[in-house]
Amino acid sequence: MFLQIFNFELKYRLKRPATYIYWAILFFLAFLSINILGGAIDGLNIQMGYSGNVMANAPINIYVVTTYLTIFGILIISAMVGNPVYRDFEHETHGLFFTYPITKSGYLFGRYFGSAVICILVFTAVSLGLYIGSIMPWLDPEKIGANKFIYYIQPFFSNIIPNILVFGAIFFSLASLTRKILANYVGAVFLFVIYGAASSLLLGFENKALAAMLDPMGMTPIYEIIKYWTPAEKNALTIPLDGLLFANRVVWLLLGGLTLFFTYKRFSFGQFAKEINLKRLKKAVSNSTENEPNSNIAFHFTNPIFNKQTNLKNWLQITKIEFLNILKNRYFIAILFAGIAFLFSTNVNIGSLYDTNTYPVTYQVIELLNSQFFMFILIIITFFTGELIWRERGSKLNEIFDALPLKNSLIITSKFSALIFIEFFIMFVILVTGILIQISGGYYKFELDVYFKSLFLILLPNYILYTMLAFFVHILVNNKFFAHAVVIIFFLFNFMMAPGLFEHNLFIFGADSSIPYSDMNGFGHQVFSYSMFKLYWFAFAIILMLLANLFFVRGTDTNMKTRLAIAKKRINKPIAISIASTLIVFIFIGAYIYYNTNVLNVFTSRDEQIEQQYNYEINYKKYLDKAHPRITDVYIETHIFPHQQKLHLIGNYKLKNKTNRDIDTIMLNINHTYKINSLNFSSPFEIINKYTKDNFKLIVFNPSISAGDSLLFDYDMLVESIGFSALGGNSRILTNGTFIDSHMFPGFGYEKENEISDRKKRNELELPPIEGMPEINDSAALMNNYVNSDADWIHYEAVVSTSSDQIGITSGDLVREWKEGDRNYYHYKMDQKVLNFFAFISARYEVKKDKWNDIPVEVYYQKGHEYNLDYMLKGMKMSLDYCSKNFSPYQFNQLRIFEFPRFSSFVQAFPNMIPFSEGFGFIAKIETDVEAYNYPFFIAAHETAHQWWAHQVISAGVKGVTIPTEMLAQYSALMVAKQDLSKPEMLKLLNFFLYEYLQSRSTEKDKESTMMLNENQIYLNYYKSILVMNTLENFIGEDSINSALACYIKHVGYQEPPYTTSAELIDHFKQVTPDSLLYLYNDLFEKITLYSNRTDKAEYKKLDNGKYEVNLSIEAKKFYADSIGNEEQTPVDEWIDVVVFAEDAEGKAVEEIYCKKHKINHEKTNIRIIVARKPIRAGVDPYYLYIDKIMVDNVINVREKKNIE
Amino acid sequence: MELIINNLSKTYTNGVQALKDLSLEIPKGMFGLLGPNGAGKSTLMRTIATLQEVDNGAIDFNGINVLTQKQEVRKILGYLPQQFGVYPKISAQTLLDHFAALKGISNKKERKEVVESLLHKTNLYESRSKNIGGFSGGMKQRFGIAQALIGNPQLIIVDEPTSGLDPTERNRFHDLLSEIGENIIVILSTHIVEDVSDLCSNMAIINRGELKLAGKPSQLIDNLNGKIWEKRIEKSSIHDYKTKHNVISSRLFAGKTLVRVLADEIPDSEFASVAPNLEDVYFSTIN
Repeated sequence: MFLQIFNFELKYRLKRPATYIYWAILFFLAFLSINILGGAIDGLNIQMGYSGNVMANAPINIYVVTTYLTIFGILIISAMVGNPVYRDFEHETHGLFFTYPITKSGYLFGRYFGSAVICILVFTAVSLGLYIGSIMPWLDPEKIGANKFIYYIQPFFSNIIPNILVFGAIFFSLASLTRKILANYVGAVFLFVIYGAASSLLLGFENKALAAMLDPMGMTPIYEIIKYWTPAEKNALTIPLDGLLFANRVVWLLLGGLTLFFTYKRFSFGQFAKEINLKRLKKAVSNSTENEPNSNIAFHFTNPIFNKQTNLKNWLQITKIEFLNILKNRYFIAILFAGIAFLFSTNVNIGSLYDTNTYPVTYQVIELLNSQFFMFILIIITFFTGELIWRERGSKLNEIFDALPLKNSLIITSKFSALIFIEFFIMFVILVTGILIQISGGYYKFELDVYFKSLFLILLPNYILYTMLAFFVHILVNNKFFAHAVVIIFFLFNFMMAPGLFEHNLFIFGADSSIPYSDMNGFGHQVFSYSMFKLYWFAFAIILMLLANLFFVRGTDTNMKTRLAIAKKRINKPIAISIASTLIVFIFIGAYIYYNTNVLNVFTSRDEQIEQQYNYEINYKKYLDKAHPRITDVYIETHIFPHQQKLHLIGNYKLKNKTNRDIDTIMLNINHTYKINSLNFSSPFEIINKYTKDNFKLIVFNPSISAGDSLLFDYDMLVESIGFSALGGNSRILTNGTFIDSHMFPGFGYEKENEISDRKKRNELELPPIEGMPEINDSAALMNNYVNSDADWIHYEAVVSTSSDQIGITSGDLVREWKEGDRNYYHYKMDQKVLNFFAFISARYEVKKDKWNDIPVEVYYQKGHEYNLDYMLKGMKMSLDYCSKNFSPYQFNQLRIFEFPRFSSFVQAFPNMIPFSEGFGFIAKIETDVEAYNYPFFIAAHETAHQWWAHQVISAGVKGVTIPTEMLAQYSALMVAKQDLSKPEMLKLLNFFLYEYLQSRSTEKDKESTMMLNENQIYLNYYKSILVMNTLENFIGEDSINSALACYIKHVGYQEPPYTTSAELIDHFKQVTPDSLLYLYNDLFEKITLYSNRTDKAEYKKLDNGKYEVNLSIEAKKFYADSIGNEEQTPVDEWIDVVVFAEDAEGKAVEEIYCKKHKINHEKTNIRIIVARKPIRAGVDPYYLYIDKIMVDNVINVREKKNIE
Repeated sequence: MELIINNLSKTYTNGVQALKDLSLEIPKGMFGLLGPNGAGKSTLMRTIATLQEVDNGAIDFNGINVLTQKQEVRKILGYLPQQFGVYPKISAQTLLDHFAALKGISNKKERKEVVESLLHKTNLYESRSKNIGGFSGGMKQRFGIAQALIGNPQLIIVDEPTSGLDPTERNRFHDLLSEIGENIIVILSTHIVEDVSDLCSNMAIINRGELKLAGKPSQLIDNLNGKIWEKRIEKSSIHDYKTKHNVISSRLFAGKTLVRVLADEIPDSEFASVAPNLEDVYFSTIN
């Protein structure tokens, strides 16, 4: 029986064209994915898998793409495996079928396995597409590694087959038991919800195992397994099918089996017969209550009235009934609840940064809600547009309905409005959800105006636009399922591909120049351009709706020819006028936007950008090593006009030719959009480049500047924002919170950062590979510090003016403050030499003041952001204290933090001032009872330490560049944190840095350097630096290190070129290190060293003298990795901490009772220790001294040794 | 008041010619449109009900051009399609009220009266709050006529309303139709001869898209007076009779076959003259 039905199902499926279409779609997507990875297709916003040093066909990429395609393929699985029993209901063949003498198990399992087998065959397209894609001749050969059969076969068995069986069982069950195909859509949505929840759980530090179990797609465990895999490992290793992945697969297969079993139990052929009988019975009852027609009652005829009011009432009537219909629709409710459930499951990590959450401030809640709800709203728009358009036809009421005296436009607009009201409703739900999230996060500042503007003025219009588009498609296509497909494909195209293809928002449906919100700047300057883009797209969408009106199917004619004829007939004067006038509005606004973005402002397409960069490099690279005079004195007047978004910059610089040669030609870098009022050197000169779009002036001095000569340089220029630009406009000059730095001011020399950085593009253009940082002994490069090459140490003085509501800030002591007209003026002067590295800020501020040794320490902040001011002040003060005690005196007379809008998210130390982004610490929620990373405190300490490690000691721009700056700032912050944190808190902090280092290095796209020769890699600067210095400090001691640093700063502080390097710093360290420990520098700084330390066995036995003997079996392995992560094992020969823990006095926690460094020089070592108290846990290296991917097995529970007699 | 149909032609994209140059005048009162399945009745009905385009021809109703002034037609139209469904989970009263509103009865109170009277009239009042999805075929058809009667229509089109109804329900439905005013046009399309003979003052027979016959039923029957002959024969000899005589219908009766023949003279001595009925008119026209 089973075989017969199974065979029938196979044959049936093999005859269906859909089977082959699905195969082709999957093949195409797989083929496309590998081509994108292989560098054959540019400009796409989508990429699944890893790039950089990871091969396109690396096993991990094949695994990840295969898995993503099964996730996408859920729709196919649902259509194929979900439908076989439902099919009998749909075609009403169940009446026939169920009377045949078939067994339930034969019928159900035959159908299920038959479809599942065909579905599995269909999904061979994924593996085949990937394989065939990977051998295409046009792929970048450097991106293709060895192709092994196992790479393709493994995900097929561990992923495709289980997923099809499990999802198939779920869909099969849903459709068979509910007899509604929509149940499958909801099922699919729920699977996505669980998947999304699992992915976001994975982001947190806890619950990783739970997340890996929860994910039905089997994707999350992969990410957990490979989180530390380096590019080399990604290229070489297949995913091990054990641990989390195996458990995940088993759990879900079991669940699938249970679902099938449940379906088998619940499904019955008789069930239908019974139901039908019940219905008959009911009817009979109701029939029997009837009397003969009552002819005594006359027909009550009322004449209908048709006027404008009738139209309005009818519109309301349909809108209302359709609105309530959707609202009561159980699938709508299910999708909505799925969305809300999704939200609550993910809001755990709101604004998470370093595992520390932020306060749920309104803009963040809205961003979270919208990004999570976006997909659900699109699903609702797509599906309910179909339901609305097809409602009458779906319930076969269309002939009656279409003959009603309603205008087409009334039918369309009323149904459309119903969905718009639904979207209003969803926005309202989001608002309420948002407020609930805020309350649950202990945040009670409900900024209703921000909610209102964001939800109803910014987000809702987009959804209305999408709805108009969906209506247009559904009406025009006039086939529900085909139209769904068109709408979904359009959305995918519009969001994923259109931005890459068209670049300009004028060609991306519904797009705008973005309207970011900041507590400091509000919606600010973007409101106007945003409105223009929206008007433009609304005009377009209205044209679509007017066209839809013409093609609306009313009655029973559905062929395109007749519809065209009808459409022609429907064109009358008012309609023609509406279409024409909307078209005029559309074109007019489009032209106006174009005028703003491309005429008043510069719009540079990607290709133009590449061309400009290419020309720059080809024509001007020769100036790279050309010497230029250095700035020695800076006097700047920066007049900020926040409300006009305008700057007036006046500068008087003193320059000096510090070289021993004459200088005749220099590149003076000035952005070409600046309006230059005057530009002058005190020596005769000529500007020789005439191209107005060059971001520099090529200046020839005649006579040339002799060695040792000084000259003056003056400029006067305007930076204005005219009209609006395509991509979001100026985010630095703002109504409140202007923040500009020295990069906006004139500088000298060829700028390597402007070169094309993409390796493939450079190959195509036959440019040589991009150069890394200069070598550590490059004597020319040693002459420049890495902040900039325009100057060494300068005298700095500046005047800032701004509008009367704001204060203006720059580095230096305030020497004078005055008002002139309605503007505030501030005159600052530095009494100390500083780097040519300055910033100007203007905003309305609240100030929190404090003092450290008579030096003002202050935070300037946006009202409402009071949360972490004390942490910041504490970080600054403790750091000032620590650095001035241990290294050298603090060189300035004050230290201040300034908050700036969240449009950029960083913190940077300038001389005596620290601009600190609004989105980076001000709203962090530091919970003292949770051991979370207090980054406002830590970062404040770090940036303060930069006043020494950057503003007193600056390194040369060569390899190893950040060792004397970032690493030492991190070290100082770590030492400050140590004073403040308990030991468990410190360990948590180190664990965090270890995780970040291992995780970031695994995604390195270029190469990982050693610490000693780093090239400014963020994960070396901030994460590995901490681990390395923690180890060094543990071995040679804080005092030795600090004395070395004090000596170092004395030696190189404020030095003129050549500048110091990492090697010089390490030499200072080495001088305070005993010879026996000198090997450390090799492992810590000159190699990439990794360890795999673990305790295999830990046993104790009580001795006769009351003491305890602990026996440990330890495994220790050491590896050296190369720049892409190939590891080579090397003999271990280290001093490693061996520890034993016992219960503390209260019996609540554990405390260390033994900790000693043991020399471990074998892979396997047994250690015997005698301790006084009963041991609980024991093991090796608990304090993060060695970089180890798995820390949890370092220390394990100690068991009592059973005596075997 | 008259509905004038001139030279209507319609060919579907699949090549089926549903209407061939059809012209017909439909006067006030109940008009029966008789024809076999696939004769083009529903196409004609839907065209009059503004739901379908034709290739050629014109339809005029009291000065309204039915083919172009669709909105005007819809205002005075009551239409019961051959098949219809309803929104799921909705009661008769609610749906009728919804239609009444959409048909221009905006006043709530008036609408309530209209709906209630229609429910009473169609004997659905007791079941008014039940889900229409659970209605029997007869109840559903009565609901259909109730919605068609909303708002004092001048033109009512009922397309095959009695097919599939049991005799009791059909009688009930006939009673209902017969009460509808004499002053409007009611077009009843059907393939059941009794529907027409019971109800209609005028009728037409169409087949394969063409008009075959039109007139008053009584007159059309009178035309056949003395021309219909009946005989009881063996089942096996039916074929011989069909080749020899103009057999218009045959049916089984007590194991034998009764044939009816149209002829001016008695075909053979065993035939007996019988009174013609509308069925004879119908069969003699379409065969």
